[in-house]
Amino acid sequence: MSPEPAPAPLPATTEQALKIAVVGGFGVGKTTLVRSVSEIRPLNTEETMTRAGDGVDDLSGVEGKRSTTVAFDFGRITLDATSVLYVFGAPGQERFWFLWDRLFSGALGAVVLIDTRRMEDSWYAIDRLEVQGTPFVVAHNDFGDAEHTLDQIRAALDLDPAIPLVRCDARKRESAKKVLIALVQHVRSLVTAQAR
Amino acid sequence: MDLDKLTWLLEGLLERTPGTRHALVLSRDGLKLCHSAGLRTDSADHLAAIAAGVQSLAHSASVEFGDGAGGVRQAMAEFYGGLLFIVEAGHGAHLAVITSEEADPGLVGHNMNELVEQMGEYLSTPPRASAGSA
Repeated sequence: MSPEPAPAPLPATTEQALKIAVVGGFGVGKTTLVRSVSEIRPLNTEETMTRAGDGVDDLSGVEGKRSTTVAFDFGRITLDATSVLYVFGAPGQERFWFLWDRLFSGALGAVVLIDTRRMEDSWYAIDRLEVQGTPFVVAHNDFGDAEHTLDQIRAALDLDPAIPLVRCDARKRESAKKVLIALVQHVRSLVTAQAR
Repeated sequence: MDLDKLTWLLEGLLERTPGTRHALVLSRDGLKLCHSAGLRTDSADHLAAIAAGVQSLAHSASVEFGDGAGGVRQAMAEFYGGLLFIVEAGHGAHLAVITSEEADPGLVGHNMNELVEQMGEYLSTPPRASAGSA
């Protein structure tokens, strides 16, 4: 068990509660990201992967993976005196995709986490968010093998130039937090642009 | 115990429990192991994923609000048109049953636990031994 984060009571000055979804393919690091940023004990619904998944859950590229999310992850992070983010991490495998629409409902925006070794896993997430009109940013979870520039990744994903693409290490709190801040800034700029 | 025997036991549960419609055994990571004949394959896949999620959330509830004894006795959902019951069934597996609204929850739960005892130690879904092995 990892040490529990120090208790962080919700500031009384909180005015904005914002819901964020974290999506992406199987084994890309969604649970890790939610765990890293959460200031409360994160809810996690990880289960040990069983032999029933042989031939179903493809572990190529993530051979060390032992457990997988079967419902969703949940964590909370206070951004500043007035804003708090509620972060929901989606499960990655296709059999749990039916949960995504519920997770997206009411979400301010989403983070699509990608792994360049399994880029195709993120197409469904990006497609779904575009169809739903949910604002999102794409974060490349760098497993220390950053062979591709962000421009190359953008091209491979055929990503709209207006959508922010950032690099992060989902294991590190500060790095993961920057992704969430990038999303909040992106959403704010969209709102400002609309207001004009 | 082979899957045919397990399926036969599931059919037996449905036969002796009024109002039950489907029974399914799933691995804790959300994959079907076997199910009663009336459940279509697509529905079985879906129910396996749902039941794994519900059980995992119920487990989180027990960690947060339970007495620390650990484990989920039973998760249940009551919806228009039916009920869903899920209990743990051996190591790494769960048993899910769908019933009509008229089913007696006490009897369904009792019979499910009885079946789990019958399946006993035969039923387990061990962790994947070595990564990437097929």
